[in-house]
Amino acid sequence: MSTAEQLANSILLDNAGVHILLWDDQDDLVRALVLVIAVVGKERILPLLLSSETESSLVLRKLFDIKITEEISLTEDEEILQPKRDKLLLLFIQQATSQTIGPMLNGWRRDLSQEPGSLIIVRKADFINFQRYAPDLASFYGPKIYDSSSLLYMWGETTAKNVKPYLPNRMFDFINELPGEAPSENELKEWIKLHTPIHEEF
Amino acid sequence: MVSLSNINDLKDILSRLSAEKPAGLGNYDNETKYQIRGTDLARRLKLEIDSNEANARVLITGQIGVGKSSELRNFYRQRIIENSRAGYLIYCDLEKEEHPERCGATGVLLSIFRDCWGATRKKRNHLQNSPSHYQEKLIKLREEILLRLIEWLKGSLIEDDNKVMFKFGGMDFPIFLNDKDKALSLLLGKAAQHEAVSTPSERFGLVPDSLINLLNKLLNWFKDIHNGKSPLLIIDHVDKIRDEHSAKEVLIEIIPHWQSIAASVIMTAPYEYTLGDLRYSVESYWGKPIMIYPLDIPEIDCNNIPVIYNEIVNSCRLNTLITQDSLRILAHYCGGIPRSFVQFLIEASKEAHLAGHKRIEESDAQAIIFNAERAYQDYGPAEMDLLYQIAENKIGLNAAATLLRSPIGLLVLKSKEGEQPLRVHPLAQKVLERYRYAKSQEKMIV
Repeated sequence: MSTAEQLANSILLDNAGVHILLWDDQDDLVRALVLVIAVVGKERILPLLLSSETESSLVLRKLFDIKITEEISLTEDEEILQPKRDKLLLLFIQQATSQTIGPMLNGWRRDLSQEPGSLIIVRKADFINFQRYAPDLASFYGPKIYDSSSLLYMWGETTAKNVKPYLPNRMFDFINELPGEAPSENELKEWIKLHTPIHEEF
Repeated sequence: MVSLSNINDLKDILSRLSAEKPAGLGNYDNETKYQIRGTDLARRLKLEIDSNEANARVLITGQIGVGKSSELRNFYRQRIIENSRAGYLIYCDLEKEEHPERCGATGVLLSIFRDCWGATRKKRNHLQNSPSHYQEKLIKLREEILLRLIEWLKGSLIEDDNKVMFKFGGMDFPIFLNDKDKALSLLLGKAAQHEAVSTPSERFGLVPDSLINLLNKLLNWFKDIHNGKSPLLIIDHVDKIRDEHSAKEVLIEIIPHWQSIAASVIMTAPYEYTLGDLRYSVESYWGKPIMIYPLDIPEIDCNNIPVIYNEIVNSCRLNTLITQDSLRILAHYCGGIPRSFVQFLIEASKEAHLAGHKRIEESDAQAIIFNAERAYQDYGPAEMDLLYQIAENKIGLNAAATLLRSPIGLLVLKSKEGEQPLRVHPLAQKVLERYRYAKSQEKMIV
């Protein structure tokens, strides 16, 4: 049984690769994300909501279409001179879009897995379809699948110092686009209070 | 003493493993060291190439993560070492600068063109003392290719013909012609990428014959400087084309183009499109694809673990940091898929570290397998039924395309005594047992 803190530490240790976070209830999802942000740091995360193929394709192309070997030396085009990705991608997959978004992400799997990696957030009910339409991506994440409903919520003192009872604005907007209701700030405050941080030995 | 509970030791081990990149010589960070599998792949490829001057056409196929790219790269390296008097080898990678999911025939041909042109740059560095006509011929060819591409891709020459403006995906894309070698590299790269990632309506259409003729002139240039031996194209990651229409176009519809290419071709192919309806069309031109099978799978209750698993563990210096029981668990549940095995080693090492263990204990290995089984828990009734039927009857591969892909439900193993053994992936076994039980309960009620 993993903890949400372990998921975040695993992402940090890898500093690459694709991880999957499954969810069914927004309460669990938000709690897992609050801890991931506390460990990874919100400034090192780029959240994106993928809900339509066309829109998502544009966003990802802008993000990844940067690598033609000769491009930088020849075009003098500022748009193309994008720096290396330095943020963990947090991709929220909108419900029932796996059939269109899955194949697209399947194609981008190498870019998604590059430093500093990606965390893909998929609703449990959509996961089988997601895998079916993104088989090569599935072979990349392999066992790196975490289920927010079965994660243990305990964390160490360092994480406790950084944990906040809310999500950054942009991420909160994305969560609101997903089905269900997110826990309020007060509910999260209470939940954090209930959990005494574990003493860190090493 | 090395210990997984030490973060620096853990990082050192993780830097010797990568489940996403093909295995190599182990000289780079995050690269798994290649291990010999003891197959006859290299001999079969060599025979095909050496007995079919410029005409060998070979498809390599196998399930996801089974090691196709690693084997091809190893063959490429060996061929360079062993056979300097053979034709020039050109490695074309469909995944280098694009994503091949829906890449059609034009994208594949442009990628070949891009990598062939890229190979001339490497080759020219070695040609400093060779007759100058080789260089002159190449410069002339470069001009011809550039002109033809500008015309076909509808580029507009501006600024006294020093710059060409193209439109890729509705966006202006300028290319400067002050360094024509680089300009051609950039143009071929961008065009190949555009063809792979754009929607069919944005694409330029099939590569005209005149460009294939120019590609052949380029291939013949390699032949001229290489003892009159035709080059060999190794085209990797074509197996990543998952769209059926695109796969059909590449494997079948452009057979006349493949026939006219002046080089031998070894190409990976998507496994599911070499089965079923497409099998006969594919095999009538390409011949029977060479299949790369999973590694031998050690049984969970058996002491023998095939050597290759130990060799992988040794190569990343995990040998003193994993118990035999843990190794057996990881080797068994990877189902003989090397990518899965490497993933399991990475995840189990991290799990051991987070649990404060010095080495990978059985509990760490079990935790990883538990996570990996998660991918199978959502198999729908249709897939479960199919898996059940195939597990019972040992036939019906044609209908099982989704079970052959990740998460792999069904493994196609090396044939023994003329039979093609199918095996349920060890990770899918538990969920199948539950389904069997539910089915038997249903029967009892009826």
